[in-house]
Amino acid sequence: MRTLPVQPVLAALALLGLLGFGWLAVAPNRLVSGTALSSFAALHFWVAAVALLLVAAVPISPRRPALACAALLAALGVALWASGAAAPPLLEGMPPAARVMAGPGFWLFLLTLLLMLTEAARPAAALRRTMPLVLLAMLAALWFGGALDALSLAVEYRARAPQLQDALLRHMLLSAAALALALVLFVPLGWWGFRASRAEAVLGTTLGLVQVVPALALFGALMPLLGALLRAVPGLREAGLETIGATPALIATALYAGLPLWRGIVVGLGAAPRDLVEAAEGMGMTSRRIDWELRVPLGLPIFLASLRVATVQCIGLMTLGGLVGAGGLGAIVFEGMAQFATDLILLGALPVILLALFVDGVLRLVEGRLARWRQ
Amino acid sequence: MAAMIRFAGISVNFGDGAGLRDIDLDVPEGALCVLVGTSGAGKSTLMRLVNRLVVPSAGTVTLAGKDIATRDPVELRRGIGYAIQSVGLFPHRTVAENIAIIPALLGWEKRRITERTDALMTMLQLDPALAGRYPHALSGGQAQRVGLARALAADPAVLLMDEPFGAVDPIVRRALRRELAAIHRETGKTILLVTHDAEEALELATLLVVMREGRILAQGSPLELTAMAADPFVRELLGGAGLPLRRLDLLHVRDAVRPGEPEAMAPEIDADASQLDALRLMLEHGATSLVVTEAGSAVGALRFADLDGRGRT
Amino acid sequence: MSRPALLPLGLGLLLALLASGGAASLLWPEARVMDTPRLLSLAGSHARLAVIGAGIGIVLGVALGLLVTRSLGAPWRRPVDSLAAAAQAVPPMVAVALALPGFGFGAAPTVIALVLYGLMPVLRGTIGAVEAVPRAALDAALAIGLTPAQILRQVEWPLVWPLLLPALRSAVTLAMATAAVGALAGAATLGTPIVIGLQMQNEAMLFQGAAATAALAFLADGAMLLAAGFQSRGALPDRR
Ligand SMILES: Nc1ncnc2c1ncn2[C@@H]1O[C@H](COP(=O)(O)OP(=O)(O)OP(=O)(O)O)[C@@H](O)[C@H]1O
Ligand SMILES: [Mg+2]
Repeated sequence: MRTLPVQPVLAALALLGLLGFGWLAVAPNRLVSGTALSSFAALHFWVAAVALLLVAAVPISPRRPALACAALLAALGVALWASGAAAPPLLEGMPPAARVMAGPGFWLFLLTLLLMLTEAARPAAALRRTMPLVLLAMLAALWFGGALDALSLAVEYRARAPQLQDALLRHMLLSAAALALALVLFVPLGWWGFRASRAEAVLGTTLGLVQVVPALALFGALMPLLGALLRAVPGLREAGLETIGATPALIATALYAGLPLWRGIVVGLGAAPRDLVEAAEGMGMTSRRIDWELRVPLGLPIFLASLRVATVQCIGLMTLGGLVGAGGLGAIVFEGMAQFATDLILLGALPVILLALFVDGVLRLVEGRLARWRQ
Repeated sequence: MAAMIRFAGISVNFGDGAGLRDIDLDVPEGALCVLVGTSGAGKSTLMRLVNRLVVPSAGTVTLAGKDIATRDPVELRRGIGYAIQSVGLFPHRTVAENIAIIPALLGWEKRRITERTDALMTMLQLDPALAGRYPHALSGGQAQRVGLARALAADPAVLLMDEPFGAVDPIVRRALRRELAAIHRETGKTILLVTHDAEEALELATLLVVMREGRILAQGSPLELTAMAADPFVRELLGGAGLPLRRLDLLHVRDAVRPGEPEAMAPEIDADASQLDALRLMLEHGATSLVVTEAGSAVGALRFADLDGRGRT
Repeated sequence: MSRPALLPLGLGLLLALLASGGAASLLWPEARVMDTPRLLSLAGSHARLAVIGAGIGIVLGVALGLLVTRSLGAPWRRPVDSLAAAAQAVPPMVAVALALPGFGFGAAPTVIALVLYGLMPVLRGTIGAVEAVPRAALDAALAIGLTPAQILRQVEWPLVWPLLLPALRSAVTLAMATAAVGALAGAATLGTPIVIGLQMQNEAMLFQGAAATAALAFLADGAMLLAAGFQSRGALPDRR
């Protein structure tokens, strides 16, 4: 049967990024996009090394996954290091505000190479675990070793480091608080929905409707609504509620995370097969015992999956908190958008994505561990 | 008789040791070849070689003298009927549309298709009211009949049937078995059938093939394979302790009759009855011999000691 | 009319009424409000943007989903799956923000993000729906002598498309949300009054924008549910 193999196609895309588009761009300041520079002009003969490593990884990929991963990691490392090394000479004689930023070719190369790495590591279970760690170690070495210091993202980071660290911490705290709020509200409701089918219908419909409302609308609507509420009941203001800031962000995020959590509880509790429950009843178990010994353990994989979905949603949605004055990484993204400063946008957006992916990965691992009896 | 299907030196490799090894088998034209064996023995795999749903790693399969590897799989498959336990009716097509799929593909005229569909439904005793129903509204037995009708629709010379009566109750199963025997008798198709039911295998087979762990352990007529000398695994598979009785069912009174007078008052039995019926009659009457009749007149005697050919030597 | 569609349609109409210039000036007598014709024209461009972006995404998603479930695209199954899973970690707002430097202010970054969000659920939905086609039916189709193209057209597609509606619905919902966020990148959508309201501390416009965005989303959702109510015949799950 004819098939379209993955690695050669991805390698072709990565090569297109490497050779076909602007690799770096030199700009007089951080707000303009600057003049594009091909990889030949930027990296000189290192282009050949990167291309060779990339192409060499393709044929060995299926049979020698470790070797292929090593070649791809090397290609990535050389490309990053050479780009970082190319920047200082380019900046010579330029005004101090001048920047060397990554071009579209760089990003295409980076994205396809990460895909190729994932694909190369797929056949070997041990590699799937070690490859990301090696990748992280390599990136950390390049970053902390100062190899990338002259690139604009690093420059932007140095200018904003304390602000970014605060934003990241605040983003995590806000997301965790929103998740906690959602758990407190919707886990009991889920239990109730499972017990009472009327409640299930009403709650399911309501939460489904909330899900339809665009997040921007809900964040926006909460400010006037909270304003009206606080005018009507001024006592709430003393309790810490505000019309802008964390309050609307937490409420809106928790409402969105509600549906996956609630549905996970309802479906998870119902996951125990009927004949098992009947067997337990036949043995004389009380319904409380059945809940704890059957429904909860058997529903656990579903609970965890819904917790993961809700957590990832909280992290993503909290970005909009930047719009209502809650701060967090969203505030940095919006500042970047307002200034049209690519580096600042990336500085806010990349941590959001990485944080979401990281939490997703960790929770998947936990799911896999806890649900091993399911094979 | 020419071999309709010939497997020559076939091996199929699925990795981890599963698959088929060194299969040589000739299925004569018009045979009803039954494959039996433990689960995972490779019966389905052997059958799926014929319509190229499985490709051998070594050896050739020839159909009517032509190597199937040289034929276009689509055209090959349209000439082979295939019925399986899980039936595989198309859920979005009605019963009639399901049966008509291959004739429609072959570009038959509308009238001819309708006639064929009606005829098949009558033959398989499917209520005409079912024609417009969707598969989800059929019982297991009805669905299997529709599957059989679909396999027969374009009148293929070869029919592959993989546990086609798996999901039905014993009574419907026996009825379907009789229908299959009748179809085989009337049409002379070459049929390959997989079953787990030893009784069914012995009753239907003209050629019985016993498989184990990817190999053919024994092949021959049901009589040959039920003989005392056969491999213990084969005997176990075909009936274990009940095997002697199953064997008697395959033998005819005619073959054990001797000239001469039986004991007085002996019950009568027709020469065409099975020896199992004869045994049953003996037990019922406490007799040790029977009067064998043909067209109403006595032609000889059957003694207990002659059952299953034991008195012959 | 199907009952589940009634609720979002009714809510949509109610919110649309609340969002109108007249209602807003009643609720906030001293604030500057956005007049109804301007809101309607923003709703029009919001809907147009969402339909174009989601439409491209849906077509691409179905095509890719069918491709990776053919033997030709089979090796792409898992990479595409992990990519789709990873893409779900990118919130719509971040996608719009990331597309901004590449495509400039205006509708383009929003459409890019919209295509991404139309594609992902539809791609996963298509893969799931193709996998839900009973194995036995596919086996039978092959054994009967259907060509791969005939199997796709006559067996898989009729069974797949009715299962796609939930994915289409979620694609449209996401498109409505993403189009709203597009206002931050300068696209003219119902997110615009929200952004203006935030910048000018104008609660009335903030409310108008939010209510109008939600109204449009509900109306679109109701329309999808209505469409889902019309498709029913055949394509019932195989009991075996
Ligand atoms: N497509 C396949 N890929 C890998 N292994 C397969 C495949 N098809 C069958 N096998 C393996 O080959 C062996 C024979 O399978 P087959 O289906 O032919 O057995 P069978 O005799 O029909 O069994 P049963 O009576 O249970 O239907 C089994 O071990 C099975 O797991
Ligand atoms: Mg089988």
